[in-house]
Amino acid sequence: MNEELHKELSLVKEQLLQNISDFDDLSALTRSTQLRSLYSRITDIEPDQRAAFGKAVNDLKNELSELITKKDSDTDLQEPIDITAPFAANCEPAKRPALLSAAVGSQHPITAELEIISDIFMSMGFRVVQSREIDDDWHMFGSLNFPEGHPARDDYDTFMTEQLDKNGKPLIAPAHTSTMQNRVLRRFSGDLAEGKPIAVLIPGRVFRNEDIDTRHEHTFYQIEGIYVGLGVTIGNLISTINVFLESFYKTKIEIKTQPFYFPFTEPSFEFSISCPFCSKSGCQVCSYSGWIEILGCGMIHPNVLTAAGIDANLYQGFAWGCGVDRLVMWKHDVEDVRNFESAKLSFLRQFSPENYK
Amino acid sequence: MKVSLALIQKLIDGRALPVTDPKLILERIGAQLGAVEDKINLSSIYQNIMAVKVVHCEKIEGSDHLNACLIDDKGKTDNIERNEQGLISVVCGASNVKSGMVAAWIPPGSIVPVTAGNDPLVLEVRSIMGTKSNGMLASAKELAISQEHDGIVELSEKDFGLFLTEILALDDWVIDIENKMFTHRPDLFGQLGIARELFAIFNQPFKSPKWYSLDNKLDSDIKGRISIDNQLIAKGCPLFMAVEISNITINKSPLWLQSYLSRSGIKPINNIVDITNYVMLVTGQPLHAYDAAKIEDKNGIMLQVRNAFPNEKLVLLDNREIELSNEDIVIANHDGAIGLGGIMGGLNSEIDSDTTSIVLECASFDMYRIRRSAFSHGIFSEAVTRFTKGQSPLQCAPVIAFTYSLIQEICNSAKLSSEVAVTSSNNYKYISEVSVDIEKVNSYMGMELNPNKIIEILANAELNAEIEDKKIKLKVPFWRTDINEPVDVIEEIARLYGFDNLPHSLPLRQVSAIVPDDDSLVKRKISSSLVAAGGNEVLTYSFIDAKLIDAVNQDRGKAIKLTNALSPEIEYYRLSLMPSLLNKIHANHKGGYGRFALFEINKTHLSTIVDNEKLPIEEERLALVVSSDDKTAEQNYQGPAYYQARAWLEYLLGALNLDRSGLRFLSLDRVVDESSVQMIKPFVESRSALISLNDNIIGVIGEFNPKTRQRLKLPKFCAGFELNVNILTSLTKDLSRKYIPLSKFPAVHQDITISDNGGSYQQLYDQLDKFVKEEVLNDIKLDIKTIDAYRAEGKNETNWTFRVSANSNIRTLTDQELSNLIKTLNQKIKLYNKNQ
Repeated sequence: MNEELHKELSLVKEQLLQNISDFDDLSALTRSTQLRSLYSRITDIEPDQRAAFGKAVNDLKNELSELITKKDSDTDLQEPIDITAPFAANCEPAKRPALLSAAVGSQHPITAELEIISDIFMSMGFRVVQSREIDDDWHMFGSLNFPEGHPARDDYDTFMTEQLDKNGKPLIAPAHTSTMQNRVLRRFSGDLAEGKPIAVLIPGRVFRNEDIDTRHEHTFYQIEGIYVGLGVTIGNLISTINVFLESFYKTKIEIKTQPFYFPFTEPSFEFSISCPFCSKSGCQVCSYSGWIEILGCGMIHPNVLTAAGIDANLYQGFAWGCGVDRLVMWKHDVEDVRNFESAKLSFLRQFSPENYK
Repeated sequence: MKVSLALIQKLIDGRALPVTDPKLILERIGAQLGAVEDKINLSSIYQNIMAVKVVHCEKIEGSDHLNACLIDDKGKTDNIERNEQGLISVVCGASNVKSGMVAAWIPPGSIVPVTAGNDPLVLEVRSIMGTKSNGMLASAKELAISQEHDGIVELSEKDFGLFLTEILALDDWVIDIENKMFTHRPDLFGQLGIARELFAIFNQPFKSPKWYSLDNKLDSDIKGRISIDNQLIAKGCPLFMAVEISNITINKSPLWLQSYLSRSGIKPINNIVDITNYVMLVTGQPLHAYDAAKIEDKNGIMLQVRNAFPNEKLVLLDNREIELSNEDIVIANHDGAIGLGGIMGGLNSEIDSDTTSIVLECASFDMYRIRRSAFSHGIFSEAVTRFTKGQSPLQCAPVIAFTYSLIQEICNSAKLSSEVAVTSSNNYKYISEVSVDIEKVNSYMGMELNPNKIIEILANAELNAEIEDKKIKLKVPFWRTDINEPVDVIEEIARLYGFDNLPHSLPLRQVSAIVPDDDSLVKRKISSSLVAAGGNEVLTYSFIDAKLIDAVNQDRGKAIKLTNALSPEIEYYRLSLMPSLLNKIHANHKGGYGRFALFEINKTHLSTIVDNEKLPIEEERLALVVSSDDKTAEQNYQGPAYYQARAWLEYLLGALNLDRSGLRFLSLDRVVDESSVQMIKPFVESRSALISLNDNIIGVIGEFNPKTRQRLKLPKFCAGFELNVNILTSLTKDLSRKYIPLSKFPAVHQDITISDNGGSYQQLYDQLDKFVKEEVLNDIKLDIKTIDAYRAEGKNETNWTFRVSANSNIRTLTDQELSNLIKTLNQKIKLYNKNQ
């Protein structure tokens, strides 16, 4: 058989071996386009090469069949066992089931951070309520003063689903934890009647339909904060966030606000802080500007309160939303946001006692 | 939104800007207007470029197009080689270079403006075909003024000796402010609006130019030939104005105009188009000009503003043909569409060099309709950006008048040849007055601001207000379509006063304790216990692909499906957590990790399980998988991986203070509910079990089916469990650990080995436990531990060895007493086995 045919064969073999796990049984292999095209080639090959090529193709098929049958015959892994027993018979004590070394265990850095953040807010009197991972148009937009078809909706690249909500609109993978505002305001509006403010922190997973790279993920975490009461001021908002951040970073922080636009708050701000990692002297985290933009916030729009059945003439309050992944990236110098959802042990075990450096 | 400080300066009729320090301007724009995304100092690019006279120009011998020029810079350039007359030698290849012309010269050491940015080209002194060339004479393209590259720029005699920064107001900063901030501010998409804000944030009163006033109207008593067919008027066009202007000569527009456009990111095209774009830059109001000759018929110019007909087609100015639907508004004549209203003009009515008469359109469209239409065709033009913010229809009249005056100025023969034709589909609701309680303003601000101060702050931004009845009554200017409610006024006051100037204080409230909910406490406990046992917590996507659903035998039809995911890898919401974990095993083994335990606490959804609001119910789950590659498994484990997973499960229940005596393992066919059906799919029936705790099914445990193992390349030693955290939490409620006081008397121990007679371990254990309870006296505490299991080769029965420990809290037990007990138990078990 000439070299060219050899090459062709070994290329197909490589492809098939790579995908061997996709073949459920032998017939799937025989049906494979690669093998079929090899067989159909036999007839158009120079007669002097034909026999050798035919044999080689057959050998290849047999070799692969053996591999697949062997997989099928992994039947010892399907033999019934006593599912009620604590361990297998005849198992030497040293090889019985055992947990792993505590030294390799690790909590995910995002859940770790969420616990720290929740604890700070609980100490400030905030309840903690988890956000949803699928919601309807009303909670994601309508109740938040985004009129139907409003251009502000364009800023959220939302995932839509085939499944519809009760109004016949697609369900949405929430693009912000604000999707919980209406529910939480309703649920705790009794607090207002008792003369207490509504103070809630809402951590959760949110989704944006965008291409991912080292700094963008379609799945990430946010914390939403809500505070509503009598005579709540813009200064209250700024101070509350400031106190949280100083507690979180355990250092004095300077703040800067920048006007912004969200339909569900007015006035709205972006909140920047003096970089806690370099005390404003310039570092990678703050792109050598001394400042980092940390969250968006504002005074809850009266329409949002009204939509939740709260008297907007009497009560006012503030809300903010903050990405958690970024906080964790800055804290630990994580270079790529995609690591978080990668389940790579090389990433995760850096947070284990064993690997603490 | 690009802002040119020089253009703003031009608009304010010679008044000085409140401050000239660009650094201060940038800082305050950031604090009181919106985020600055970029800033460019144009003077640093253009500072040495000047208008020079070409004194001498002659062909270089041997070259077909190069000319050796001597230029006069009025001696203004330092450090440059000159001849005896003080002239500078430059080689120029442009066809239009000639002696006596005034040209733009870029001296050596300067960058060519069009290359400014990442990779700037800095000119040097070079020798070309034996002739020294000091810098270059530049084309409009090289000067980044337009795309024009056919010859060099010709300047006028009066420019000679001036720097380009003086001629074209290029001593300028271009500041790019994030558009998102202006979503609700149509006026800030015009330089005029930004100018107004700049004055207000520096506490100086702004005065709009005279032409920007409702009194400014284009008066004409010429009947003209434009008529508008009102029969078909589309909804969503509150105002449409059109006027014919004739005696037009199409030309390049003056350099100053081209320069303002190009620095703002708009390509100069010709005088008419440039003027309409310039007016849009200034006011935020998009305009469009049609070639009158191309849209007229024998009866004149009949226009329609109508919904497009189904299947109607239009070729746009960018040469793209689009198929229209009746969602689109088109401007049309008797032959069909001539423009996509508010979005882009049609190619069939484009202004070209032969155009002598134009129809100028100035209209207003409903922002929602424009947005839908632009989205459906994927068009994002400058006009769309502005119309989708809700431009005020009221500004159309002054804007069309202003545009005409500019056309006259630039194209001086132009003359009005019709009256302004007007139509409207609906009345525009102009909210002209908004009141807000001063008390409410103060409660937002957290301070008592002097009412007169409030009036002054607002007046600086031409927001005229007065105080009446402890209220601020604001007369909303026609360009502020965003001010409709009291809170809109509060925002303006607080922003213009300066958010950072407001008093900062924490809210005052009663002290109250926050009790964390059980759910989050249980989740924290699960996570910390599993971590302490060497587990690695992971977070994986809520979305998975069809391939993975198939690999674990789950039913795609039960999964909520995304319709617009950018990547096919995230097409479905996951039905359970386990597939996501299994999907991560192979890569981690390949990464060199011999054994590990991954776990995740997260949510799962089924499309079919919804609450009474029709929202999918979110189930909180915990999944854990233990895996070991073949080599590591051989060294460390014996027996099926199932038991490994079980050890983790029992550990976890213990950590949650759950009494394991109620723990049972049931066969998978006992599964009932829909979500558990999906949850057990990856598991292999012969080696998996439903987990029951005190008669509640809390989850599933086991090894995985052959297809799943193959598809996901799982090693042989791999097993796991998935639990419903909500049920677990309900069982965990109020459970605290039971403590039994220590006995003062020593314990005795003895082993008992009994056969399961081919039955299950659990049966044997339950029987033993039952017999123990029958035999043991009240004062004795008995503890049974499973310590060994033996099965002879080829046999079906397993002999289990248990260590029985006993002690009394009132006396010392003897070994004999325990021996007797063991003997009795042995007999009872034997009898029991016999009767089976």
